[in-house]
Amino acid sequence: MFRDLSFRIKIPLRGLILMGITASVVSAALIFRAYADLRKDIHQNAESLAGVLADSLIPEIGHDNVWRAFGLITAALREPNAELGSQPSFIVVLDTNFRVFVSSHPQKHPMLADLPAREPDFALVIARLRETGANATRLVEPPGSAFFYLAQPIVSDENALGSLILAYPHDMFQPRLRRIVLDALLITLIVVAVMLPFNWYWGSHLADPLVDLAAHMRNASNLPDPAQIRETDSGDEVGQLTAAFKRMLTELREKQYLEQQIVASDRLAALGRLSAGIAHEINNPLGGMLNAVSTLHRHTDLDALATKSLGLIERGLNQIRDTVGALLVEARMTRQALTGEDIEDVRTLALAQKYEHSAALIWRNEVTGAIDLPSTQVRQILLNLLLNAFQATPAGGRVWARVGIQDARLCIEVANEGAAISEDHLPFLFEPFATLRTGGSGLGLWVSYQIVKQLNGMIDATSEEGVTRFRVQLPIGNSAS
Amino acid sequence: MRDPLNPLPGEARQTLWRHTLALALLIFASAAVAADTLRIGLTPVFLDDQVNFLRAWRGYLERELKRPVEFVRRSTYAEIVDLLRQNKLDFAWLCGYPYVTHRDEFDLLAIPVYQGRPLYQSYLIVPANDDRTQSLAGLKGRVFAFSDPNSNSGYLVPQNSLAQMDAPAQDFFLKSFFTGSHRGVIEAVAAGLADGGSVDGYVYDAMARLKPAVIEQTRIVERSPFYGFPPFVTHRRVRPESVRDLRRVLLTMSENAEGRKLLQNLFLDGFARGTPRQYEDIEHIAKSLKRAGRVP
Repeated sequence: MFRDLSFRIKIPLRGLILMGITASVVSAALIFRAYADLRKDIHQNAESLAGVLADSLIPEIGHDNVWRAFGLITAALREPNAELGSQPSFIVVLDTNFRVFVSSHPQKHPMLADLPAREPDFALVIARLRETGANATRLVEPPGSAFFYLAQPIVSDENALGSLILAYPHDMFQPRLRRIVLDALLITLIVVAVMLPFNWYWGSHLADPLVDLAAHMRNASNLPDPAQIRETDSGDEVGQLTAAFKRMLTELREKQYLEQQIVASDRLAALGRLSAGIAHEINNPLGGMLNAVSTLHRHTDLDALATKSLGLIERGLNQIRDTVGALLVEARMTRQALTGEDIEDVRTLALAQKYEHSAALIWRNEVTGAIDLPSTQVRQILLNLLLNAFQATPAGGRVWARVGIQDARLCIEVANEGAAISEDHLPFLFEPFATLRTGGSGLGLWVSYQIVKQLNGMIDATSEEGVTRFRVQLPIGNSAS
Repeated sequence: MRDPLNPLPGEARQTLWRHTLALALLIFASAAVAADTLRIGLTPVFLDDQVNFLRAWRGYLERELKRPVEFVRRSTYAEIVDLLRQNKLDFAWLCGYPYVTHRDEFDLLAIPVYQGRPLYQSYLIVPANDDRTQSLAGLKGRVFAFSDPNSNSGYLVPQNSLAQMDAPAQDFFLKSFFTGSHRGVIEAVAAGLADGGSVDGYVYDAMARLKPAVIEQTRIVERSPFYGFPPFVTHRRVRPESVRDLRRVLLTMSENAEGRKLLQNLFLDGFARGTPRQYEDIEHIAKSLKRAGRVP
């Protein structure tokens, strides 16, 4: 479950856990150190006290001066050691037979009493004291006892006079230790509390680009506009991911566009084959009918009614033939090559339309000399585009036309001001009868498309910001047969 | 220029005379002063920490005697006795026991009057939580605290009790020790360091008023017969005028307001002339115990 949490939570959470662990470990180490130091302090204090007391007790033990010895050890207990709170609980002086010489608490340790019988701790302490060897203080910590003991032999000129035992409560560290632990806890909490907002902020800072990226990816099937994706300016992996994602989106969109183009092309090609097939089916009987009519017409003996009717039939059939003929575009390769004059001719033809619509024509013809392209077909395309442009532009609007040669291609561009063609219409612009206006055959662009395709060229239309633009590119000297 | 280290001969002799004369005068003066000062020794009969009172008492005595007075305190009777015998003290407030053992050298100066009589008792005390011990016999095999080996109430009396029980002097108790003072005995018994102790009743009563918290932790088991109160003594060689003067001042202390105030601090009524006969009991006991080898 933890794995499915958002990075917005995971990252700060991990940060928090790490902070907690670090703080705990450091605190524990410091507390441990403080505890060790505390013990050492207290032991050292006890040892120095034991040393001083032992020295002072030498004459008193030597002279069996119980009262003075009692005064010394009770004075040591009265000593306010408030800073450490490290006073012994009680002090016992033993004689050379390890019996009580004097105790700060005589009721608990009567003189000459046998201590181990009274308190088991002393058995261990006395056993340690009996160990021959060093005259140093011995630290005795009987397990499970309420006290720990410091035992010091009292020695004068290498003669053992007795022993000194200082007893300390086992939990004398507790108050100090508790304070240290509480301090550490408090500091840790304060530090964590202060760090928390930073942790959250930095975590979010890291997580946000990822979260955004994930959201965009979820939306990716809709192929959104890559410009919408905010690019981080960091060079780290997140930045790289975002840039790569944008590139991928861009390429996907291009692919989608190309696919759409292909689909449109396929549609148009299919339509072309269909219409060609229909046209041929119609043309064949049509030819026969026209011949028959012509034969009838040539023979006389026709009365007025018959002549009129025949004429009617003949006109009707011709109309059918024209219409069908328009569908059936055959790029009859005329030997005539295209020249600059051909193009100017088209301009002349188009100008008539211009005056009708009171539009302005901005003309640029860069073609000089002859070009290896069929002139009739190219003139047909150019004329069609110009006529469409004049039709589409409002009164007083402008039409641009440019013809030139680029990279061994003839480029024709015709643009007009006017209402834009919507994105929904654009893919179907070149289909027969796709026209948006009344009048006209609706076949103009269809025919132009067919011609361009047969010449292995390219035609497209864009419409934006009140300008509709048609572009045609025809490779020169590469016409299909 | 004249060399100060080598003055001209005439001048040298003058300077020498001048210095010698000054030195002689100084020595003579201090000797005179020393000879004039009355030195009084105090023993652990006295509660040791009443410094202000001592200053006041000294002032009173100096005014009355018109001579400087010096109080000397020591922690054992023996030291005071020694100082007195060595002419380092003129007077001392001793106990009856060292007085009778040095009857040939010491004279009675005055005896304090306590609760109307120049007498006092020795108390046998035990810790308050011991409600079983009824007499010295009950302390057999236990720890006992004496005050001073030269004290009547703190040593001689219990030794006498042991003798009367026919008990051995040394091994009757498990362990015994000296605290050096009556106050020490009380404190030792109160703390439980000793199972029992013998103490000057006057000191015990005084402490009951000054430090009742300590007294409350003890219990009186037995009171001894009355004995002569610890006396002020002097050495035979001390000048009779000094003896007379100090005696007079002590005896008249109860007759003036300031003196009475000082006496109140001591819980005493006054001082009386006293006779050696008042210490016959102690002398008798001391002699018989010495003969029996129970005391040195």
